[in-house]
Amino acid sequence: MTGLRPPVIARWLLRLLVPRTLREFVEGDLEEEFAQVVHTRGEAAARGWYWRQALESVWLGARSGGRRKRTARTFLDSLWQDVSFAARSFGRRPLFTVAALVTLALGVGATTAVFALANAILFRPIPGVRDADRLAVIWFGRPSPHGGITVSRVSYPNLDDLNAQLLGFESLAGSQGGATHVASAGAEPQRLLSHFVTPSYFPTLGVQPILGRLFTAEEDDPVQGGVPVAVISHRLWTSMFGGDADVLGRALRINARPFDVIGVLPEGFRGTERLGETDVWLPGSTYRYVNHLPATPSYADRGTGGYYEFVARLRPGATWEQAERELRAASTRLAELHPGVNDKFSEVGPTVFRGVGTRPLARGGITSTLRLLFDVVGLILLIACANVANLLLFRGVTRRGERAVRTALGASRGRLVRLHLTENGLLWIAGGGVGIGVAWVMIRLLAGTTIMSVTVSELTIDWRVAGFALVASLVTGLVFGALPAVLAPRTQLVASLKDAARTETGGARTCDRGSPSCKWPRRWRCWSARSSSSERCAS
Amino acid sequence: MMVNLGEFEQLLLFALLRLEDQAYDVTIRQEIERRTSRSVAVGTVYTALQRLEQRGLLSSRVGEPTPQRGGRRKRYYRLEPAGARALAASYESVQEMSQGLAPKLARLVAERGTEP
Repeated sequence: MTGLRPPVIARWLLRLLVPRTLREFVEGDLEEEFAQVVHTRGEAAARGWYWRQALESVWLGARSGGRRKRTARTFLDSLWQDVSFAARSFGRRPLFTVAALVTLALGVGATTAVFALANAILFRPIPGVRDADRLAVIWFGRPSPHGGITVSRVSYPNLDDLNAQLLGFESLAGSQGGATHVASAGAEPQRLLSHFVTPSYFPTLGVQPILGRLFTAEEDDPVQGGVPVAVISHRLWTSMFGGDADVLGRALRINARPFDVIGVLPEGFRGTERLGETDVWLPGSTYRYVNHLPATPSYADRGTGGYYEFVARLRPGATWEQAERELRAASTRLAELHPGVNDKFSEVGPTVFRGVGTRPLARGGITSTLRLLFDVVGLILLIACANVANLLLFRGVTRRGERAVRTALGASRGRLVRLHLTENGLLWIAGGGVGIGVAWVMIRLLAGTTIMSVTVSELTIDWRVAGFALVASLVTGLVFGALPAVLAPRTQLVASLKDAARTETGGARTCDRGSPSCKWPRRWRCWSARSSSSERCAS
Repeated sequence: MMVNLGEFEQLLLFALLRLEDQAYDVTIRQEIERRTSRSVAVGTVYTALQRLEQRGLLSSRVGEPTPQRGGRRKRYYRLEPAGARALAASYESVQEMSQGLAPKLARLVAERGTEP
């Protein structure tokens, strides 16, 4: 005998699907046979087999549902009954349904569109970057009188000194962006954003090339100047080289200087920012070569050149506080070790912006702008929900008679609340679904928006955005849909029945008692309303 | 009254006849799978057995719990006389209808065997 148990979720599903009267036997049969299948065909096959059997048992509940006694009904049977009743009931009142759906969809759609914006700027993972929450952007500078930071460069020898002293950060990788004119052989140049980086830049981010390789330490030589090699983005690879696999070794002219392509980065990776636009990465020490600047004094000179911006990864087990303390101490020590040339480091210190994905100084502005937008659309959603709840309450009043009849026929209060909850739940889920459609249209209008100088070029509905729409509609549905549902069944039976009789007889409805389309409650209403009826009940 | 049996119902009743007092869902399903080389879902077997029991063609009893089944009981099935009569009649009609047709059928299968 094997000690393996069938998959838990499949067992749970089975319990939900199989009628109570059969459950023990079906579960026992499957457990017995599961052990046999494990023995003959192995564990994976047995799990697959169990899942198949569990899923096929849906029909066990559905097919025999009609013929079995009431006690054998599964939860699924009655849920399905409620859902199909709710759908029919909405179908009978198309005006109400359309009004409620449009109201909900606009509310959910607007909120979802703004969430898609926030997702694109703040939440979605940065393509290609590993554990972005352990990365930080670091600037060296002194506080500026205007409230910001006046940044200062850190030269190659100083960077080496800093890296030698760090324990909390894995390494400081330098990165410096700049506009360049980039062209493939014989083509017109395009103005594109390039980044000059240290060879540790990509390993720090955890980015791997999909083609070729990344920079070696020798290719970023501060003494000789860097080797003219380039790593390009997936976008540039497809747009400039047509996605050709032979791109490695091909020539690229950057500001009219020849470079060799040595690697292609994964799709979507455009630097440390979610909406970054970098297409070319070059060894940092090629900066002067690319920009046609004199090569002397070399980057090996402590007082010359260097990077304004760094990215660093927190070492496993280290804390931010400890790492930042160490970095500050190391920076002060630069001034002590090399007086004169490094005097500025007695005033200049590091500022660590934890996390990457958005430009450090734009973060506050972006967050507050998005929060304001969110508050506004959140209010719109609340107003929409309140409107729909209003519609539902009104509809509840008009259906008092129907509820009284159900109660008279033996429906419990709990059952009635469930029916109403199912109806309202269905409405809100449908509203959420249409809302995603509305959001899809809205994000087409929002694409290209610039918030705090971040241009939102790509807006998509990914699982996060769709999940948000669904959760937003479910939560509001639960709150605003449950209220009418709970309030609704509190009706005075006799008064409601009398009311129902009056209401039903008010219109010139015809109900043929013999016709199969005349369902039980209607027939009963005909009968009960006979004495004071103007409703024509054909016998 | 003449009781009509579907093809799968016939297979089930034959399985009961063959398995005698060892007929429960697992053995019935395995018997059918082994002899007809088709895969049978647990839901299908239970639905058909319930239908046949409601028609009085078979009866069921609850057995003892066993450790292999996680302490759950088995439901054993037995062919009732009405079921035996229905099965005999169905089998007879199949035999009547198929008498002497085997070679012809085999030839047709061989001729058109390659068609999808």
